[in-house]
Amino acid sequence: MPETGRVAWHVITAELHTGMLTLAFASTIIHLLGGWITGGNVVWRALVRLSEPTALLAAIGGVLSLIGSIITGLLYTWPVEVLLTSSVVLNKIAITAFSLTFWTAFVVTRVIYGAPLWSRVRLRWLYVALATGGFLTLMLVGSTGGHLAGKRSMLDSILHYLGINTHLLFTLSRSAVYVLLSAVALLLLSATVARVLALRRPTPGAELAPR
Amino acid sequence: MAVAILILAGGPVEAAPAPLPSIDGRIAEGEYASHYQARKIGMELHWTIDGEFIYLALRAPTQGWLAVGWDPTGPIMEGEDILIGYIRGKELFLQDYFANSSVTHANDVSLGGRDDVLEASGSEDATATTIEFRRRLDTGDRFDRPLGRGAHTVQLAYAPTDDFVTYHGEKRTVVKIDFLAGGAVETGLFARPRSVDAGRNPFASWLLTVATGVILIAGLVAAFLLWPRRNRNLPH
Repeated sequence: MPETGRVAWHVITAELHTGMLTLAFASTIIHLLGGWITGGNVVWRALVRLSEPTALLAAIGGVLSLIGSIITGLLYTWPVEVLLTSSVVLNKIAITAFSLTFWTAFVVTRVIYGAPLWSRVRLRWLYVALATGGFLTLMLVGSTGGHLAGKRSMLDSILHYLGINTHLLFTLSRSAVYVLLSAVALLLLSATVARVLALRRPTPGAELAPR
Repeated sequence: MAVAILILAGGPVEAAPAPLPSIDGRIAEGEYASHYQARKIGMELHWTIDGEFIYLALRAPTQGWLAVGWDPTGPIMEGEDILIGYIRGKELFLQDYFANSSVTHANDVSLGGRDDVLEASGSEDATATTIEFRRRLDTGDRFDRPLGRGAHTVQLAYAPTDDFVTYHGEKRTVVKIDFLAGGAVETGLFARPRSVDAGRNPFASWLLTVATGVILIAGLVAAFLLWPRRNRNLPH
């Protein structure tokens, strides 16, 4: 039965971002495979060539529609009072935030370094890792969304096997939060210092300069 | 004590001997031993107990789904035993549900339980939908709540669409009913969501967790990109 009313906007934007980001992930994987499978027929070569810009465009569209989905979800589904007190919904919002971060980083990385990032091993794997992280979290978002619609998810058995219960509110302890944030801060500081030192001792071909 | 629970905000409740109701999708005058009318949302609940069975009837001014549920453990409807149904065409779709979270519910069968509706019928016209059914007071199913002596927290709700998921919005009420004694008292929407800053402050912990996750992902990516390393260009 088709959805009616304003909740349909959330359904539309949810379908849109899921489709676009799945396309972005698939295009990324195809382009990665294209680096190894260099032979093949003309169709495969064309697919590999087109997959690179497709991944970027689909990711941009996906990020925008994901933001739209967040807005319509908050405004048009259930009352905010219910949304912000349901452990399932809060878990879904959290995973959505993680997915959005992955895909935003994916787009930003591609915009800064351009298509040549595929010729740099480190950047290439980072790019693929970001797409994979974004896609996996996207699957989890879809799974919890299915539960909220009163349905079961294909991921249920896997999540059950892994001991993950998306119905229980997932929170980190304060000590874990402090440890993680301190580690990230330390890592960023170390990377910045290392970068500055490397820039003072330039060596030919040593830098990963942005475009 | 149970008898002391009487009508407050709701409509009249009657407890009088009556012949067993017929499950035919229509509620006749005096067919049921007891009834409760939720005036705020215009919904009626009728019931008769016969030994180990209970006959229940629902009527609401809608052409969509209507539901009755009882004894949630909370928050909101979590742990509630729910019977929800609608009429499409001439056919009744009634299912035995269980609220597996504060805002979601699932079919008992899908959770590993049983559908314990023994017989059911319903009808729909331009003004209202009526659903009648019979089940045991205690089904023995772990996804059902037994109806015994004393007041039960009962939630009544309906929505304008023929499905099991559309949000009911304001068309919901909560009432305390003693099915055996025939008393009811409307409690308002007492089953409110838990306060986001109650207890050990779960909302703040959740917010901190989300922020940490986002910073972790962004921070690791930034550190990875900043870190100088010899470039190994590969043909691609």
